[in-house]
Amino acid sequence: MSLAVSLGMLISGAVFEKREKYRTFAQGLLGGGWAALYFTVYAMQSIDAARVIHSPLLGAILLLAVATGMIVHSLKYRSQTITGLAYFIAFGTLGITQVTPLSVLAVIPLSASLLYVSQRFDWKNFALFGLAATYVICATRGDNGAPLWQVQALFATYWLMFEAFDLLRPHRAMLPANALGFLTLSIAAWLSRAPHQIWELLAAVSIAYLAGAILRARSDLWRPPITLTAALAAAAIFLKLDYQWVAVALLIEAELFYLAGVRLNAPYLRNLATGLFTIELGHLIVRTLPDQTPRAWTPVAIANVVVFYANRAIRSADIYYGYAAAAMMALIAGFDAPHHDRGLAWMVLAAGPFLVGWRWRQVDFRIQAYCLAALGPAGMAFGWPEPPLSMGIGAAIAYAATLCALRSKEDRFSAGEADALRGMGSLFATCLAAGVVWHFVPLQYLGLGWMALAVILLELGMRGWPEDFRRQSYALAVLGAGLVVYSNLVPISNAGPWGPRFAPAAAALLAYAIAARARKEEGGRVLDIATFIATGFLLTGLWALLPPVAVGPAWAAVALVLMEFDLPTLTLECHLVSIAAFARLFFGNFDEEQHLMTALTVVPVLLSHYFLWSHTKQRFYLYTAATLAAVLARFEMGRVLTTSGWAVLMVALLYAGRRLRIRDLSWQSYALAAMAFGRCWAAYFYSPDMFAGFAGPVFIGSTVIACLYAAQLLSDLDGHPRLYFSVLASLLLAVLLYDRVSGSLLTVAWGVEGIALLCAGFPLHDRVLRLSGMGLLMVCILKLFLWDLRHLDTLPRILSFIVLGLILVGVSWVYTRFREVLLGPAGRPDTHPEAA
Amino acid sequence: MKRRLLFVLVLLMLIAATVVASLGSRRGEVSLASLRQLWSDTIRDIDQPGLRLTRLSAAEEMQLGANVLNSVSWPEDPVAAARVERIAQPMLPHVHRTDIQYHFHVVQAGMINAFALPGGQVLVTDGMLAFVQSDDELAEVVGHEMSHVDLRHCVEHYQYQYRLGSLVELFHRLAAMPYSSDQELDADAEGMRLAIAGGYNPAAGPVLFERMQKEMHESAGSPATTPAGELAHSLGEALASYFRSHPPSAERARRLRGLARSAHGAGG
Repeated sequence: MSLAVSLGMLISGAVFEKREKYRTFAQGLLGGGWAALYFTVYAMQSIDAARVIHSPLLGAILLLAVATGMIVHSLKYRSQTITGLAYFIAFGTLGITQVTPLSVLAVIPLSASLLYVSQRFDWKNFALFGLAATYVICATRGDNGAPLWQVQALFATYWLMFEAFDLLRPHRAMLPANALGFLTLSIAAWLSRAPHQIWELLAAVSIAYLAGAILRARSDLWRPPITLTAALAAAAIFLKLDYQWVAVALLIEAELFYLAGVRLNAPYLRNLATGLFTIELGHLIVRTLPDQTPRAWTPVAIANVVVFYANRAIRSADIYYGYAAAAMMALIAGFDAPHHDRGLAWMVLAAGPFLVGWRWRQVDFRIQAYCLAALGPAGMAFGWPEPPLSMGIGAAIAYAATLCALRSKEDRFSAGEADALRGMGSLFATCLAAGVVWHFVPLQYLGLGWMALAVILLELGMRGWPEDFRRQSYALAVLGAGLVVYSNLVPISNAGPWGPRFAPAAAALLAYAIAARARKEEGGRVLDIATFIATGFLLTGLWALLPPVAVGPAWAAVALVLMEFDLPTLTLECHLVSIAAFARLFFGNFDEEQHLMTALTVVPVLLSHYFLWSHTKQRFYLYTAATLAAVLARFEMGRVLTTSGWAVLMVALLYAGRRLRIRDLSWQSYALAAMAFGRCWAAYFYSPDMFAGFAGPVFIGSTVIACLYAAQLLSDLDGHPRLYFSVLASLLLAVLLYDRVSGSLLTVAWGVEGIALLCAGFPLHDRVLRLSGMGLLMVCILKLFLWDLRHLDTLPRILSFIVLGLILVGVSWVYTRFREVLLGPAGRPDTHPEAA
Repeated sequence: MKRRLLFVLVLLMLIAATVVASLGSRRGEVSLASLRQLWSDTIRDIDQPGLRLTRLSAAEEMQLGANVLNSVSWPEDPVAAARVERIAQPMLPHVHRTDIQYHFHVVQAGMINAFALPGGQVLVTDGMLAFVQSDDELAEVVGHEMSHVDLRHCVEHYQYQYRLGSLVELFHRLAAMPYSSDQELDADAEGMRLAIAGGYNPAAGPVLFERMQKEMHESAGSPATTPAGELAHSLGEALASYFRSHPPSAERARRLRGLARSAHGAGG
């Protein structure tokens, strides 16, 4: 009944379809008829209540027949929707029927017919629908346990069918969709049947897609299949191989792609190669390197270097291969070179790219070399202590590069590159040479070693080999000097072994050498700084080497020599050193037990100060020299006897001052006169350590007084100095008489002194002497009446009165007798010697 | 040319001085003793006017000394004092201040010491008597203390107090500190002069002080060997010597040895 209804609807539909008026109604009858027929046939075999066909195969054939009828009928309408609906029902039929070889194989013609229809009517998306339906039907059916070859053959058929269609009627989504479906189903099948051989599947598919790519070579659609080829091959490699062999295989695959890309002039292939190289390097570094000993990965890494440089050579535009090669070399050296030689290895490796880059003017190679070279010192720093040979070779390489930059033509390097290379190369060479010195020279003398190296570098710099060494030598010299201060000056002792005591002097010589060689550089600042440092070292060295008493004269000798150069800086240093020598004498010489040694060491210093004054005209030298003389007299002659020395010195200075017209010397003589007077009066000319008895104070007093009178005579008649010296001398004479003459005869003694002063004042036309004498006589009169009358015995008192009376009478007569002579023609007494 | 010649001459002198000093000098100690000495000299000179103006007469000084002596009760040894006086007798005619009457005491105190008070009061401890090994050495000690009186060192410590009050004396003592050691050296020299004049052997003085140095465990100390050490040592020593009343025994022995040598030369 159902069949009849179905057929009736189909026939009615076919009849009414011809009439325009009932066409819509007729199409409804046709669609409903096919649906009812399809369901009726399905129910005949699959629904128990309606089952009349017991053979599944027969049922399936009938269903497929109905489906085929529907498809064929649909083609009449040229409607992609209607035909698609029909095919959907057909594929659905295969999906709902029991799995049989027929139902499996039936997909093939169904799909083939769909592809044909698609191609016939140029329905572009229709094939894609068929592809999806095919693989979905296969997937929904699940695993029926068939052998792998059968399953894979079926999938391969599907794949081949769609791949062929894609070759004929290319569609953007067809190839990836086909690959996705095929690989998903295949991998699922292999996972359940031969999971360890999946790489074979991938390799085979890779080859298949390679073929597909080749077939598509003339079109623009070869990129997806070749990408799949590369990816699948890489996947196969990863699944099949282990550790470094993965890298080897990937390297080969990548290189093949690169070569193909170069050969075919296909950037896409070269990019694929780049990707593969990247994966290979990533695997090599991330996976292989940590797990394997360095020796296992080294050949692969070297192969990488060779391949990369080969690629750089094959195609010069691909400069990044050169960088990659250099990086690989750096890695190889970093991991394979011994710890202490790593820095050297990088520097030696840098030489290769540099030579290539320099010889063929390839800037990228030179950049590689610079990068590698920059790693060298870093490696040496981290690998410290680096063997000296390594650092020496490194320094030689750096210096060779420096000379290369210096001597090469301009076109060998880009703008500014030669300067930078020269600067950095020389800096590396300096640092490494300093490192070599560090190794060979004991730490205690390292500062000296660096300063010596600085001298050599300075010489090279001054000669222009290259000029950069000059400033580097300054820095190295400053470092060395700092180390000398730290290692040699701070812990220095003047009683230890000789070696460390010589170090500052040696450092001074080196610093002077630098100063001499670079005296005109940097506006003379090098000379200034170096000589200051050198002089400081020299003074310290002399202090350490000489006994304390010899240090002062040695420093004075240094000052003298410094002055001789007649340079402003050295003259300033001369002054400072002279002051230091002057001060030093107070520490180590004046208190010396051996008095002869004191004089022997102080006198030359004193003379040197006078000489320095004569040359520099710095007045303070006059004062330091006079101070030394006065202090020397104090310590050589004792506290009191020194007054005689001071007095003699006072006269000498006054004479020299007047003769040479140097007022400073005159001022010094005034000061010495005051000092001698004060000391004599304070000590009453007596010193217990003289053992001279009565003669001692008399000798001292007479010497000082005589010198003061001599100074008076040397001074101008109408000047204050004359009055000053005269008063001091007369007072001191009175003090001496007070100390040495007993109380009863003191008035007589002072009276005699007064008359003596008067007598001297007349022939010398010296009013000060005469007034002093009269003043003293006045004191005598006062003393006579106020003291002697009360305290003296009768006889001395009478004697005092008589003598003093006679003296006063004599003085009165003399003044009356020679009054005209004293007043002179102008009536103004004693203003000039000619007034007499 | 003349300047060049002078330069060479001065330079040669400096070099020669350096060489000779290096070869001929013993390794002496570095100090600021010279500056301290100059400062001491200056203070001492400045101090003199005040001391002259406040000077005590001999009678006042002797009364002061007696009062000070009586203010403290020391157990005395008259027998030993007689020995000291016998030793001092030959030296008394040679003192400068003949108007001072000297009195000699031996006090019972274990320490090795001797001291003088104003007005001629000389005190020697029994410890000192036991320490000296000859009359010559005792003469040096007694002569030293007599010299303190003769050179007015003792009375100068009481002058300001006597004339102007204790506060002024306190300031004076602080100011006079730097030359306290110099007064000791002066008394050493003057004491030796008295001993020589009294017919005693001057060589006993340095021997006595050398032995005293050992007895008192006065170590000379190791000299500084670094620049900073030298400076620190010099400053420290200068500061210490400022407050030190007596110079180190080693220095006193050294100076006395020099004086004995010169005295021997002068006598011989």
